[in-house]
Amino acid sequence: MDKREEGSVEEPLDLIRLSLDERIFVKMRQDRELRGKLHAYDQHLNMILSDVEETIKVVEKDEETDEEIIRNIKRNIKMLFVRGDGVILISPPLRTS
Amino acid sequence: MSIVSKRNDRDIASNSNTNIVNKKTSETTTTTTTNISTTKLEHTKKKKKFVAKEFQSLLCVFTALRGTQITIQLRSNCEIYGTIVNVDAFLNIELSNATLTNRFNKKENVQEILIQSRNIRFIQIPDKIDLNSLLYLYSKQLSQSKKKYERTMRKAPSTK
Repeated sequence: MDKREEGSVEEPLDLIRLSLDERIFVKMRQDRELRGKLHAYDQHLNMILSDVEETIKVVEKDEETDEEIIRNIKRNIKMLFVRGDGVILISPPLRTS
Repeated sequence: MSIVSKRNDRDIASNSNTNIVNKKTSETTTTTTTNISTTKLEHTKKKKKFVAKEFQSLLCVFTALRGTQITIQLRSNCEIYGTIVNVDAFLNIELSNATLTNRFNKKENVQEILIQSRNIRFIQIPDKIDLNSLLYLYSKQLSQSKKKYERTMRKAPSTK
């Protein structure tokens, strides 16, 4: 356990350790998605991201036609702390190796 | 530290749970894959060293940020802007001179406010702040207070 090799994945959180300092995708509760560079994380999956793009999915109902319209609201945040209890999944960037 | 972290002490011993990238090393290296892996190697080497308990969760970031102005977004889509007064082990945050903006864009000013950690979704940190230097200062402060404490502890039995 002590001689953990660089690049190896032994426990789930190692996958996140390997994506430190890279852009990751985070899916949050209530149809929110984040994309940003991961600076730090801890065991609760609290994270600090920078250059974050937040996408919120909002479903609106058209009163005349009764159709449901899905609208994406986007906003950019320079530096963001994300509380771990709202996180559903974290996806590291695609690696070409 | 929090009860949670005490419970996880064994896990913490085997792997330090907070991973903070040193910005300076990452900035100096270019973005080729080999260089990235070297920064990570340095990082894993650092990890094997002793990591103070205060730095095993992201709590330290906010204790280091005391006195700065942040925006907290709550689960109820309410936003609160204010100055951090104090943060506890559960990440409950105390703000002063806070401005509450609820989801109907109604504003309200409050002198002091305590936010229960459960209700927090995001915290926006002002981008002017250099987190690395702040954390460094905080760690220095901690080690100094620890030394002071040890000194007084040593003195105590001799005075009797």
